[in-house]
Formats: sequence, C-alpha cells, structure tokens
Amino acid sequence: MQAATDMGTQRDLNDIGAIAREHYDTVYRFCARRVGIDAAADTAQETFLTAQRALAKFRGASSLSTWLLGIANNECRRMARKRRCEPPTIELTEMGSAEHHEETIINRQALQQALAKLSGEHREVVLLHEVEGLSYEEAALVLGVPVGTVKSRLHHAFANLRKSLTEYQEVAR
Amino acid sequence: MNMREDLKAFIDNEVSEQERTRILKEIENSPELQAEVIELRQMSRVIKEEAWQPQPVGLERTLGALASGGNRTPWWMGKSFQWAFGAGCIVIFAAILFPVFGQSKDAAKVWNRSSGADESIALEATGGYSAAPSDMKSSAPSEGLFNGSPQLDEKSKGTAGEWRDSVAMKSPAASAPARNQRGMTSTMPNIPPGELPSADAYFKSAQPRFEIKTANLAVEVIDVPKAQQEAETVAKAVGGRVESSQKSDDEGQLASAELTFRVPVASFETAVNRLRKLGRVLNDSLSGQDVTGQVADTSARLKVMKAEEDQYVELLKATKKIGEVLSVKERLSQVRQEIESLEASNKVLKSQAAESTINLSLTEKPSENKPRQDPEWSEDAWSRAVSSLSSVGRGLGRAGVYLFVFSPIWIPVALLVWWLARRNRR
Repeated sequence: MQAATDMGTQRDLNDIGAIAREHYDTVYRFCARRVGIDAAADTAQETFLTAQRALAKFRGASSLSTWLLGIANNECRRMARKRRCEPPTIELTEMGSAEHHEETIINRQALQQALAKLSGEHREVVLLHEVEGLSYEEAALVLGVPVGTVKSRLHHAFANLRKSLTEYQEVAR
Repeated sequence: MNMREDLKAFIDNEVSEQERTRILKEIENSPELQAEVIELRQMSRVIKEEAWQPQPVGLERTLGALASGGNRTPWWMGKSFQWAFGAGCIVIFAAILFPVFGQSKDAAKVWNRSSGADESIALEATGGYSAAPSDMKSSAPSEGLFNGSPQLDEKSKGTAGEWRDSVAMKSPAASAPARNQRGMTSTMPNIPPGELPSADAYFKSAQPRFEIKTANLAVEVIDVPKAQQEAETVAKAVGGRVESSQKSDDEGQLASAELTFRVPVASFETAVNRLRKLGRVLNDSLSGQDVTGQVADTSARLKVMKAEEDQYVELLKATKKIGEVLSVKERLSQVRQEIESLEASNKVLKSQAAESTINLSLTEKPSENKPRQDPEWSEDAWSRAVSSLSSVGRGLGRAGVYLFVFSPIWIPVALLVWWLARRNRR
C-alpha cells in the first residue's frame, strides 16, 4: 500500500527525524493497540531509536513502514513482558451513523464480543490486516511468518467470528 | 483446494488472477457462498471503519531522543541506577561511620569525666600545696604531730600517703575549704587555678624518685668467652660493675655464661642497648619497681624515731630515779634498734635504685651442618601471592557480609530512589 512512497530516497533514509515524523502516527497506534495507551509513547520511542541504530542495515526488501512495524512488533513484545501488559484487543468505537448501521447485518456488540474471544495469533493478524491495513505479505514480514500462515490465520479468525455471531443470533432469538 | 479457505483472500484481493476467476465462478453458482462473502465483507468493513484509533502523542519527545543520538547506555550507567547506587552507598557509610563517631564521643565524655575526677582527687589529697617541699620536711614531726609529746602520733605511722594527709590536715597553712574554678572544694588556700601545679609535678619536685630497674637479656653469640669479656667491658665503661659471673662449657654441650651487672641508673639504657648488640637477642625484658613511696615512708618513720630518740635522751638527763632511768634506757634502746633497722632498709632501697641490675645470659650459637638456603624467588613470590589473594578474598568476603547485613537498610532506599527516578523519567 505504501510501498512505493515509503521506499524513500537515500537522502530520506539518512534523516531519521523525517522518517519519525512521517510514520510516528502509524507506529504509535500500532503500539497503543498492543501495549496500551500508557506504554505506547515509550514503545514508539524505543522503536524509532532501534530503527535509528539499524537504519544502515535496511536493504529496502520491504517498505519502510513495514520494517518499522516489524521493529515495533518486537518492542511491543518486550514491553508487554516487562510491564506484563494484557494481550492486544480490537475495540470498536460507536462512530457509525444511523444510516451506516442500517446497511449492515452485523451486530456490533456481538462482533465486539466475538473479537474478544479470538486467540492472540488470530487477533494479531486481524489487527495487522484489517485495522493497520497491511497486506498479507507485509503482515507476514512483520510477524516473521510465511504468507500462507497469515492467510490461514485470517481465514480461521473470520470463520470463528462468523460462528460467534451465529451463536449470538441464535441466543438472541 | 478448499474454496472457503480462499474466500477471505479473494475478498482481500490477495489471490492470483487465475484463482480469482475460479472463485468467482463458484460464488456465482452458490447462494451460500454469496451470503458468506457479504458477511465477511461487512465484518471486515466494520472492523476497519470502527476500530479504535488512538490519538498519537509523544512525537516531540521521540524527536528529541533521536536528536540526542539515542545512545542507549548500559543499565549500570543509567541515571536511575546511579542514583539508587549512590543512595545505597550513603546509607551504608552512614551506618558504618555513625557507630564509630558515637564511640569517639563516648570516649571523650569518659575522658573528660575522669580528668575532672583526677583533678579533684589531686586537689584534696595534696592539700599541702600551701607548704613548700622544704617546709614539709622541717615541720613534720615537731610542729604538727607531736606538740612536744614523746609519744608517737597515730597518724604519723603508716604509709607516706597517710603522713602527707596528716600534715595537710594539721598544717597551720591550711585554710578553710575553698571552691576552685570547677566548684570543687579543697583544703588548699585560694590559689588561682592557673597557678595550681599537678599532683605528679608536685611530688616530683617535693622529693626524688626511686625506681629499681632490672633488665633480663638472653643473647646468642658465636664466641661466649669473647662476648663475656665485651659485656664486662661495657659494664665498666658506663661506670658499673660485675656483681656475679658464671660460666658453663661442658664437652658436647653449647657454652653459656650467666652474668649480673650493676650499673648506674642513668647509664642503664645505654648499657642494655650495647649488650643487645653482642649477638642475636633471644629474650629481652625490662622491668621497673617504683620504691619512692617505700623510701619516703621509711624516711618519715626514721625522722620520727630520731626525734623520739632525742626526746628520750633529754628525758634521761632529767631523770634522777633509778627506776625511771632504767625504763627510759630500755625504751631508748628499742628506739635505736628500730632506727638502725629503718636506716638499713632505706639504704638497701636507695642502693638498689641508684644501681640498676642487668642479668645477661650468653649462649653459644649452634653450628649449622648444612648451609641455610635462601628461599627461591619463585617460592617467595608464590607464597606472597597466595597470601595477598587470601587477604583480598577476606576483604571481599568482609564487604559481602557488610552488604548482606546492611541490606535491609540500603536495598529499600535504593529501590525507592530507583522507582522515583524512573517515575520522573516517564
């Protein structure tokens, strides 16, 4: 998605400050969804500090944002271990309009509950692909797993979501 | 290939063109798949559109960290750890040093208390400050004690200390008790504190001191007869004499000699030092016995006895009756015997004090059959290194014990400081 623009010129790669300004929001939100608001700023800072030291090793095999999110993923794991943070959650905000609500057959409350029931691995791929907007390949690079694994996990994640929604509807009846 | 597994990838455009065509065909022929596609798309859209989007903060701080180089310091160089370590060290040093200062303060208090007590005792015991040394000698028996009576005053018997006290109590120069600068009473007249001499200085000036010094030396020499001659030469050179000499030179045994010298007390140390140089000193002991009190006591009693003798002589002249004459003569004889005894005792003490005794024991150095080998430098270095290592180990062990014992004190302080530092950093 952002691969073309994120490759950056050689001049941009030398300016970690410019990179931070461009990608800070994405990294911050990534961290906030995994370690919480309290630790998000620290984790984001650590991500860019690590990126600053490893910038010379960046070969451009992936986009810059993907590379940064890969670093952020590791930093989030480290921070989660240190501060014993809870596993990432997918929260849905009630921002949709009434019209938008009528167009969907999805019950948001049921979907929120279903998302909470997902396992950590499934929740991670859903966050990466659905929320952060990474492609299968980019998600695979961030998680360090094959693309097929991401595909499989997403399939199972949504299958579980559908199953949970079906059960919710049956109970509601 | 499972159609349903590829359905999500199809929706996300993550399949190849060929697979896409195949899947579309399947979906068109299956209402069930169509419903599933719709459901999956809606779930995906809801999640995408309504997922929580936190508001980013902390960009400036991150830029600042990046601008400063962002060098991560080792944990032991971090400010949090340094503060915590410093606080722990301060607590440990305070805990160690404070008892030492406390002991010093206590020692100072005890010293001040004892100095004040000594001074008060000195002031009361030497109430004869008012009497000069010469005055004490002349006024002793006739003025204060006897009042003309031939009978001995009970207080004149006993030790010299009691004699001094009795003189002080009955001396006409003694005034009413006065308070000195410390508020302590004394039997001395009102002399300004700065002019008061110490008790020890007073006694030193009042009468000479008599000390019987004895030295016992055991020296190993190569040639005993030669060393004996040298020892005798040393004794004579310092003005002394050989009091006794005994040699032993049995066959098959080491030669030895036992010598006793009497040297003037002023040359005592010089003689001992020279005798030490005759060979290897095996044993060396010096002792001194202060007999000043005994001499003073004997002298005092002697004066009293002589005064009594004079009294009896006068009485004998005045007595006419034979019975009284015999009685006085008998008493006079007893007194004279006591005087002679006291004079002899005094003479012995003074003689012993005037001439110190050196007991010298000379023994022949045994011959060595095999030459003494100096330890090799490597053995010496090894033993020194092992000794140093054990010292270092003991030191580290001691430090570890201190750290462990004081851990209930410094660990909480260090943790608190570390926590505060991390909190401030956030």
